[in-house]
Amino acid sequence: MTVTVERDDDLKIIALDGELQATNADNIRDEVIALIDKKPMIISMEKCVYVSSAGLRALLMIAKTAKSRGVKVIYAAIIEEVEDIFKMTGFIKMLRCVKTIADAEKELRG
Amino acid sequence: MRIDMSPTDICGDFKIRPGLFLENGASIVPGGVNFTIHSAGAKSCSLVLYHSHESEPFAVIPFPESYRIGSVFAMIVFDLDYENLEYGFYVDGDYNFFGGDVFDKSKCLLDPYAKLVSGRNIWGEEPNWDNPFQYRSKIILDDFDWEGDVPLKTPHNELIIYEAHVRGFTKNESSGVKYKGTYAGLVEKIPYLKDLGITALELLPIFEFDEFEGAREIDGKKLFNYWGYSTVGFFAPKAGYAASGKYSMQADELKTLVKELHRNGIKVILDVVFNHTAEGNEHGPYISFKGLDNKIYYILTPDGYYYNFSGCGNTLNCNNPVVRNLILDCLRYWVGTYHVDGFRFDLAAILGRNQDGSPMSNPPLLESLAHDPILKDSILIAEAWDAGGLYQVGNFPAYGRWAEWNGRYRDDVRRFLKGDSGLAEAFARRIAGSEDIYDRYWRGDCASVNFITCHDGFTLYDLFAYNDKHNEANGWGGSDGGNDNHSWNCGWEGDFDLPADIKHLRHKMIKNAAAILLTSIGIPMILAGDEFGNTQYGNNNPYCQDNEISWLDWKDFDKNQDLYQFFKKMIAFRKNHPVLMRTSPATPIGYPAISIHGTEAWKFDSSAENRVVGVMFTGKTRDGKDDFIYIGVNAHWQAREVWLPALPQNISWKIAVNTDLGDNSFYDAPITLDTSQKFLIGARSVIICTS
Repeated sequence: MTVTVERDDDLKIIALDGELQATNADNIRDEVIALIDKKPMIISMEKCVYVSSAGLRALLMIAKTAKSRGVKVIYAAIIEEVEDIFKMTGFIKMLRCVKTIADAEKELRG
Repeated sequence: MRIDMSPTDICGDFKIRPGLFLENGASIVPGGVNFTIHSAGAKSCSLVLYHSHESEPFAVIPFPESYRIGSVFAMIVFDLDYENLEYGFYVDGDYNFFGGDVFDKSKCLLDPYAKLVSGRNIWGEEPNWDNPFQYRSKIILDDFDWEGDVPLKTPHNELIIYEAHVRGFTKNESSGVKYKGTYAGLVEKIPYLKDLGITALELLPIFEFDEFEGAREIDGKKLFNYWGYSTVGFFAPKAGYAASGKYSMQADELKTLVKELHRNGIKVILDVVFNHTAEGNEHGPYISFKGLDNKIYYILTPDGYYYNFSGCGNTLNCNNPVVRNLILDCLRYWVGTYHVDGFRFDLAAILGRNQDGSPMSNPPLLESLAHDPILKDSILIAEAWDAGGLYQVGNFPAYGRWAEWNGRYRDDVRRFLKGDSGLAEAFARRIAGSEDIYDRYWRGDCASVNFITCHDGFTLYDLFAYNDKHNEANGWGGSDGGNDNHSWNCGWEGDFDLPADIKHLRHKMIKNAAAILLTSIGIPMILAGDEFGNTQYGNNNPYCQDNEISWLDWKDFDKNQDLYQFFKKMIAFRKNHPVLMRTSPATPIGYPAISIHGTEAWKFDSSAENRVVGVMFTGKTRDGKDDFIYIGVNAHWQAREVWLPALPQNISWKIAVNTDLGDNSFYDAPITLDTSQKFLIGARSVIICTS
């Protein structure tokens, strides 16, 4: 999986590309957490094709760490299969998720 | 950085070190995975590692002799991709069947402490039978964001239990949920449960089992082990009940269900099966225990055969200290890790049998459970009998802690309601809390779990729609299922061409049952679907029917709104009257807490032909006022006049329920009765009056 900062102006858009699972979850978590500063963050999930149990925990820890630093994080553009995993496991209620990047921007700027 | 978390040895491609001897099963540690297992009879043991779903292991790592203390083998293996991993054990020891040892190092054994089991991830998906390792231990991430949740503190006397099958509850297309037949589907139905008002959900077995055990085909229909009373893994949630089971995320899905139920004030009770395992008798498969320590885990005859007190092939040796620990660890795990609120123990009398099979007066297992710190607030419910003839209803070793499924409540209420003679006194005692069975001094007010129906037998609708069981679909020529159903079809067998007046009578009989169940002292239990007249078409043993016979048909919810509304209002009525939960010892001056009446107040007629019973409960309302409740039951086929007990001056009886009034059986605003206190109860009807 790769982590790319797609935008960094008044807010950050970070794109996850690939599969998030036990073999990379800890590293990806640390990598994204290292990008947290004061700006609101959108994690683009468009190219994240799978999230395992360990992956769910990484995403939750990113959100919790950001929250503890007063930074808003929104997961956006989640593909259907991954969204289904979020829903079945209940993580959908623990993470802020929206349909599109534009929706996320609107909410963060709102 | 711990100094005991770095590799000390190399075995082939793997870095290893001695593991955590005080753990059980597998757990993730820094840099690796710890594996611990014990076997008293083992000469040696090897860890067997597979990539997910593959038939051949990618590694077999023998435990070096120095990785063993006593009979415990423990090893940490480093750098494993624990999500793409399944594991088991080869255990070598003696084979001497008549002496009870049946070690077989060719069998790959499931970890008895496996927190996840793979192999039956998607319900009903045909397994690869050529794969010698069918039930595969997996490693779990046990952490979960509970967001402050703990098991609920609701007192036991406020329990209104709802017994449901995870799959059957929402599998039918008519359930309207997205994730049908799963834990996630149940989450979608929580608003329904909340609307109904129940306070506890009791789930039929959810420990990993194999729906293919004993699977057959009858008349072109596949029959499964649908109920699941045959455990494969005691620490693992049934993967096939999880929408996310294909990703092995069943633990998260189930924990979410528990958390969401708790958020809505609903407790979770698990139906647990410790009387036997899925390994069957000498002809059954090796899954785990047979190959680990056969003579420790099972009660064996002196010549090595399996005692069958469970009726399912083997009997778990519950009072052996090793097995006792396993059971305690298991229950503690489900409370500590999944936050469940209690357990119902299937064929619990076996839990009190000695290692030779004889009943014990002070069984250490039951004593340990009653006093365990983690289980302190958990409700423990015994099905206080077993298939070996031990019947302990009323005298189950309870230590002041255990409740019991009150089988006599079911039978006496059924028989009285259908009009049998000679039941008036017994029936009155059942409503009044069965103190003749459960001494209140020793057992309190919550020892009796009152039920008229449960998964095992007719549904409530079928109880009044069938005189005889109709189990042909089960493929045993109608020989299976109980014959002592005490059912009555109201004059018409089944539903074909059902006359309207029979349907009307059936609905009245269902309301009678609901009114009695929800005003009886003790903990009421409702079978899921009974509240809207769900039918199993007369099948009283659909343990194998994974189809429309067992699945709740939610179309009946729309059709039978009168039943649903009645159940819902009766549940609310119970909650509004602490008298029925016996929470306050104070009663109105001059009145006992419980009194029994006949057609005349204060005069009970215990003769065989009496079919009229009145029971009055008194106590205080939540705001401290005197509260009187009178339940009048006329099981006779003709109307009967009764005299209500006189109330103190300035208080009048109000009629709150009259099941003779069809859709209007429940008065949303009770109507004050005239002062004569005489009331004509309709044929086969129940009235409830309040003060």
